[in-house]
Amino acid sequence: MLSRNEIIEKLKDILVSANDKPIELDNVTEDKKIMTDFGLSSVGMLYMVIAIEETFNIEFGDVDINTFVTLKDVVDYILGKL
Amino acid sequence: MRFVYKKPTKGNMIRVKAGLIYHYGIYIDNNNIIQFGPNPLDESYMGKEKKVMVTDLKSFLKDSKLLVGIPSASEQKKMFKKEEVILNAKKRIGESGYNIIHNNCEHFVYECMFGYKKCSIADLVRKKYRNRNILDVYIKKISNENIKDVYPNTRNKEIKRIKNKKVAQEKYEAWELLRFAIKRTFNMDILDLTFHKSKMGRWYSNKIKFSISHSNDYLMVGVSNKACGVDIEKNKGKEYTDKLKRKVCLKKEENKDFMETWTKKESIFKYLSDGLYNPLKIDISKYETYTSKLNDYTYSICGKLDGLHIYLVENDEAKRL
Repeated sequence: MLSRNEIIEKLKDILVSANDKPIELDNVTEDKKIMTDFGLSSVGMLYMVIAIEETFNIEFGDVDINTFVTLKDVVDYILGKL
Repeated sequence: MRFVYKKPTKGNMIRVKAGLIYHYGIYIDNNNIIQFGPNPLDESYMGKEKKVMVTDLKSFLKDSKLLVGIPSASEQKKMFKKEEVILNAKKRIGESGYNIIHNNCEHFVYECMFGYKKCSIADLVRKKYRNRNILDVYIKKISNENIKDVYPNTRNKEIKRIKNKKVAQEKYEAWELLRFAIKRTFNMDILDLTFHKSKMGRWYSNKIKFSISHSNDYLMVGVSNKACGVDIEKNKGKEYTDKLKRKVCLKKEENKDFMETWTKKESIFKYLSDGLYNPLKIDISKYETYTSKLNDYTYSICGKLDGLHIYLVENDEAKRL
């Protein structure tokens, strides 16, 4: 099973691809807020969610993604699904 | 379904631009539009549970222009009657369970109108994601773990036949790193792939592209959905003779770092996977390569570099380099 660190590394890759603007990978920490700190557009958010589903082979079937505030919320959810 | 600027009528699918996406609803009249969640540009959109709700045209539009859906000829045959569309929408008022990719406002209107879910933007984004270039490269120090069986059996037998223990160890660990890379990058088990060997002695897989290299203490594996080539070499720490440089470098390459040139050419050759290796037939300037150093090693990668990620593997964990 993937470790917490490995999940974060994969999420960093996804955030880079999802974002129109470049982001500093060193600034990607669990306490960062997804919408406000990374400046994801609505399409970027969609890309991120789809990429997470495909990368980790999970489905965000039972949750409203907008309730995820920080990266930690996303990591915790992924770990719970794996 | 195509969308046009026109006056809506009862039962129409309508949409409005909300940033880079569209927000959808079912039109009844200017004071009654049924939508799943508010317009994403609305303050109430973020962080709150979204429900199927009634709104008015002004709140729906948020100062943007209204677009009305015109179904195609084939869609018209499948579409419910307008009264049924409105009834389907009204029945669901108060319903929750919003999900941006599986149950959003576009899914809702299609279900009301046709009985099935559809979301064009999610389909497009998912297609874009699946067609992206993937090029993950994993570098690992040889750890001298015990050689066990590998898959496929033909490769296993090859490794077991090697008399030189050091070479056998390298090949075993390189194949194990490939197994790790396939799992980590594609979330596939190596057992799900089939492998075959070409007449030139190169291994290929049916579902992914890969390239392997080893030098002294280090292994390197590249996995991709497109052609790729990797090479890692230990820096010899001495001057390379002119004679050697002439065998490898084109005139314009002679003044460049020799190990960089050597590894680039090897990675390009593996990327091309074409015939016998002749470095003088490879012009580095014609290919996209990435080169870097790790301790006293030089490595190069050739492939779709816009998808490139490089990892150092230690204790079964891959850390981004």
